[in-house]
Order: sequence, then structure tokens, then C-alpha cells
Amino acid sequence: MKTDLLKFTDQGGCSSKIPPAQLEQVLSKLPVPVDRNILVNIDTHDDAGVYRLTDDLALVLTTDFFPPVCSDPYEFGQIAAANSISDVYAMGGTPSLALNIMMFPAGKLPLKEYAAILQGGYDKAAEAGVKIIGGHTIDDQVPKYGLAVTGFVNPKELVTNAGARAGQVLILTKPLGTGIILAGHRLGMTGEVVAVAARSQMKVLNNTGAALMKKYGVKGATDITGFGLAGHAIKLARASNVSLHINMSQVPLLPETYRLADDGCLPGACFTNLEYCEKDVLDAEGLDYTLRMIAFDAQTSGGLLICADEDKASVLLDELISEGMTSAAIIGKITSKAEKLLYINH
Amino acid sequence: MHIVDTRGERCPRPIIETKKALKEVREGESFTVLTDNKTSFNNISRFLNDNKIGFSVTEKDGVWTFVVSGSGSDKTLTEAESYCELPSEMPVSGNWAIAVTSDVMGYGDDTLGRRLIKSFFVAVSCLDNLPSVIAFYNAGVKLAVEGTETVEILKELESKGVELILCGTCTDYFKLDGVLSAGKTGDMYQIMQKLSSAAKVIRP
Repeated sequence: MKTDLLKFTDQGGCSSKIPPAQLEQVLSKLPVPVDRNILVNIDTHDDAGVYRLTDDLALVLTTDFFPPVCSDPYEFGQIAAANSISDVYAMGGTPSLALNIMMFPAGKLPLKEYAAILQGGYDKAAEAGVKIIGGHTIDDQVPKYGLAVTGFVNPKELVTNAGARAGQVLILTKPLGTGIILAGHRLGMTGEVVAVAARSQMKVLNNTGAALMKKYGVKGATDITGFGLAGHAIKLARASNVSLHINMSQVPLLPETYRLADDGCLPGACFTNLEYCEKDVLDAEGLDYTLRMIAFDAQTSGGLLICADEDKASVLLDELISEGMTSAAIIGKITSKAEKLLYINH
Repeated sequence: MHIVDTRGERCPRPIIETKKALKEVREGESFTVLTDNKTSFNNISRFLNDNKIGFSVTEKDGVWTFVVSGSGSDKTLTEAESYCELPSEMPVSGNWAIAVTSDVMGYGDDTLGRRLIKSFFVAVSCLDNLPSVIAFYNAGVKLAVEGTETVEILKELESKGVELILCGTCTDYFKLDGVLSAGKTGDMYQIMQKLSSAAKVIRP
């Protein structure tokens, strides 16, 4: 009988994050290390930590892991690896080395599935040029997998949440909807074809986006994952002291995302993210409820939200599309800091 | 009443079922949603509030029961002719009547009495079960004169479907022709007919 990893969990992917408000509360009480070589620290809640080695070289460190988002172990490995590596790309870095982090119900699943997850991880990492040189596994009822990744970046080319500027344009490189579709598929509200499309997107590395950010001198970006488009947009806006304006009708969506959300398939993470974000968000008058909730859908291995100079945005977008990021789109703009950090428009 | 039982289900199933029920029930029809999951209780509440759907919810033994109004967003009636229909939230008129025998309430001090009768009508207008008719005679008809403190409350009661009958003999006696802003005049026979067919008559 074919293994279905989803039987081991009732919440998957980045929907398994602890509510952001609680997380911030806990983290705020921990000491923040002081070292003049720390270029990006925990207190700015960025995608990774960055540590300068020389004037031209800095280390990028990040980790991510989560329970299964799909039935097949190999695919799960691929998606988890892509998701973990993504944060290095979001900093403008080149991922290089990684360690496996695995929790596995050894008594309940055959070891060949354990191997399959790792194989998926290895293959995706190899695609990114990442060498997995170690790792750690423990026994656990619910399987979980991901990587701790180390990359490198030239400090002069570092891309952070604090690098956005008023007057820039927002580009999203991958369509939204993975949280909604995964939930909808599990509930039998949508078919395999739609789930396959979602899984394909989750496997896509953000390497193309990262290379183009470097080419066009982008300094502000983040990747869209567990806090949803709105949550990550707010972190960016806060760190850069600007306001973001997003037009939901321009945001690319995976097929069936709108229909599923409109039928009520709104995963719990949507509401958690909404609660965390709402004080910093203003919805436009008459904004469609479903489109608005999609902005809060937790994504797994989502795209990059790139803050591009207005005069470079079109060419950057054209290149993204021609290089294979076919759903990439301009979704809004950045203004100087207004009353709210994020404005969601139709 | 249609019952949506989502006990044992985790998000987003309860929201999906609630949304489905909203699409299926008839206009104005309510339905019940049950959940035993705190997260679902929070999320359903949020979903209904954000979509401006009226509901009430109670909790007992770890089960939340929502009663959801199936009629969707608020029903402010803005067309003039809409006022000819009874809005569904209007209180149902009961079979009782009020006989207003003076422009003061009670005996002993008329200044106090005038204050009391105004409060009386304010209190009547707050009732869920409004009287079907209010009859005014002797000095009571003066309460319907334009510009008085009481006439506005009487007009409001009238707009909610309460019939106001003013004794014609009395309005003539006090020469109030042309200065009345609420109610319709009627004769003693009409007043008696209304009062005698009421199950209960209150006199302030």
C-alpha cells in the first residue's frame, strides 16, 4: 500500500507555525547577541541571520522544517528542501551547505520512506548547488523534515527586509494559494490536477529570482511563507519604515484558489495571520472578502516579494517570466510610511 | 431549523459548512452551527463578523452553538415605499391597548404628571411587544399637538405600526384642528370598539 504521509498530521506546511504574536513575545525576552560582524540579527525578524567574515563575504544562516504537506515522501523531501533554501535566496545569497533535520515515526513507517524523504531533499538541494554534509534525526509521532542551510553573500549585495524604499514597485514571483489548495485537496474539495500544480510551484527554487535581484541591484525583498503575503509584507514595511500597497486583483493565484476560498476553505492559519496583521492593515472599502483572506493564506515555499526601482521593474519582470517564473507579476507599490504598514486594495 | 453539526471537525471544515448553509438557506431563514473546537469558534465568529452576518452564540460543556441569520448583510430600508412593508426585525404588535385619559400621568402634581407621561411613552417605544392601538381622549389629545415633547415619540410609535386614535369630540373641544401631528381622529364608537376588543387595556 502506498504511503500517505498526510495520515500522520492534521496540519501541514507552514500552517504549523506558532502564532506570530506569541512568537515575537517570547523572542523579545531573549538576549540579542552583540557583535559588530552581525549584519542581520534576530531582532529584525528577517529571513536569515547574516554574519560578516570579510568586507566581501558574509555567512547566511537559516533553518526551516515542518510536517508533511503532501502524501508522497519523496515530494515532501523536495518541497521541504526548496522551502528551507529559499530564505538564503531571499537575502540575495547563494546557498552552499546544509544539514538535514528529521523527525520520523520509526515504529510506524518503513525506513524506505525515511530514505525517500531524504532522497527528495538531496535531489532538490543538488539542483540548488547545495551539499548536505550532515544532519540529525529523532523519533517522533509526526514526521517532520527540513534543512539548516548555510549560504554566502557579498555584504554589498545583501538584500533584507529593511531595504525597501518609497517609490518602488512590488513584484511577486510565484502565485499564492498553497495553504488553501492543500487544505481543499485534503478535504476532497478539489482534484489531483490542482494539487499537482500547487506542489509543482512549491518545488520551484527561488534561485532565478535571487539572480535577477542581484542583476538589478535590488536591496529589499522577502520570501512569502508561513505568515502569508500580508504577514511578510508587514515585516518588510516595518523594517524599512515604509507602507506597502497591494492590489489583490494583480496578485497571481494558483488555479482554484479563489473558488476554494470562496467556498469557505480558509485554513486556520489564515485567521491566525489575520489576527496578527490586522492592526497594521487597512482593507480598501468594499474589498472582496475572499480576495482579502487570500492575502493571509500561509504559503509553503512561496515566491519572493521583490522591491524594485520603478525604472527597472518592467525589465526585471520580463526577465523573471522569460526565465521560467511565468506567474510573476507586479502587485503593488511602496510609499513613504503612512498610518498603516499595509494597504490591501482590490 | 437547519442544523450544521461540525463537532469533531477541524478548521476549515466548519467554515466551509457554514458558508454552504448560508448559500442554501432561504432569505430571512436562520440556521444553527455547532462546533466543539475553540479555534473553529473563534474563526467562525470572525468570518461572520467580517461578512456582517448577524448571529448569536452560546457555549455549554465545550460545545458552541451559533444561531446564524441567513439574510446576510444589514437590511437598512432606504426606499420610501419600503416603509409600507414591515421590516422583519420590527416587534410583533400584540393584542393590547393603551387608553390615555389625560395629558398627565397619575394624580397629585401635574408638573410631575407631564414628565411622567412623557417617560411612559418612551418606555412603551422600547417594548418588544408594542400595543396595537393607543386611544387618546379628554386632555390626552393634547399630547399629539405639533411641537410638544410627546408628539415625536408618538410619531415614532405610529411609524412602527401602532394605531393612534384621537377622540374627535375632544380635539374639537380643545380647538386642535390643524395642529395635530400624530394619530387620526375617531369617534367614541371607534375608540370603544378598539379598546373592548383588546385583551388588555393599560391606562397610564
